[in-house]
Amino acid sequence: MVGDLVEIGERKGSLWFWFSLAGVALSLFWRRPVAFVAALFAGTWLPYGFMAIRAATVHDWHLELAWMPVFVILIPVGRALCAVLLYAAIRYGVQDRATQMAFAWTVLVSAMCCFWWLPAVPGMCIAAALFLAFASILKSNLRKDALVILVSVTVGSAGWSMESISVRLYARFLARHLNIPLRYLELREHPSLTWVAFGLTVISLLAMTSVWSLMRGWMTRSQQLESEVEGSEVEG
Amino acid sequence: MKPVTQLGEFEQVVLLAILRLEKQAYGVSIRAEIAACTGREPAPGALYTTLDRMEEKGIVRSWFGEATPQRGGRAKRYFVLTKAGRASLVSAQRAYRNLLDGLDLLGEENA
Repeated sequence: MVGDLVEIGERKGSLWFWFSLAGVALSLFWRRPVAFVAALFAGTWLPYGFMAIRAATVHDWHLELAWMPVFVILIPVGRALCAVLLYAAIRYGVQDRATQMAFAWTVLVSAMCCFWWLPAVPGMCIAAALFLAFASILKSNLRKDALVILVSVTVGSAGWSMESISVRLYARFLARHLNIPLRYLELREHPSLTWVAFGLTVISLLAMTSVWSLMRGWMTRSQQLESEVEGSEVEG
Repeated sequence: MKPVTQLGEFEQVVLLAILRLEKQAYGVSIRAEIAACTGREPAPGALYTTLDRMEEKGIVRSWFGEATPQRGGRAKRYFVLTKAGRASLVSAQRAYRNLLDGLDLLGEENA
């Protein structure tokens, strides 16, 4: 690419070369940082969104407690799915099949997280999830996309679960003299807690998005091997 | 049989230029071919983004050729169509031909 610009730049001048280089760099690389920041935003704030919807709509706390083990798994998964969906949609576009599949899973998990108390929602979500899972297993062209989502979301949700455990342990460590759990106002006196949480969020997201990109690259390479290069008959 | 990838207008232009150039299709020659045939010079950013995207989709494949002194010792990146790319291009061109069928758009009146 730079070689091409050098070759044309000999005729068009150095100003053209530098402007073109900047333009090419911008158009090739803007997606990755923007996608990462959007995913970070989603990954940081979505759990609060889920909690706010639950707090506003659920009044039977016994029922909520009964469902708690499900939420312990679903909320990190929903958070990871939303983050990875935004990342994939910006980086690879909404026409990408893995992005579309991530969208379907995100809708299902988010609906479960927010509207689980409506009797029809869990049933419909489970049925749709089973249909999607079976379709992904049976259809060969969907299998690889499903694998990308499964591995990335597992990495992301495991990372974010570890993050919340680590932050809780760190808060307990900070409050070891007090022998009581830290409250909000006391937490504000320890900005390190926020930075630790933010750092772990970024590391988990970095791992998840890297896995997504690497696996997608592997998928593309295998697709290229399948569609072998045309020889002279193409150019002829 | 695999479903063909839908191509945008500029993607088709780039693919046709690659086909016309046979084994000499690299950034500079593709850009020059497009300029010669269509009268418009694509921005380098648009061209490389499109080539990268098409390589990701498996429509084209690239490899590095020889380095030349007038390029600051940098190698040329050559492109060819894959079978999937050719199938997509044929499908897109067939759609154009179907749309043109019955119209005298390229006839004497507009020549």
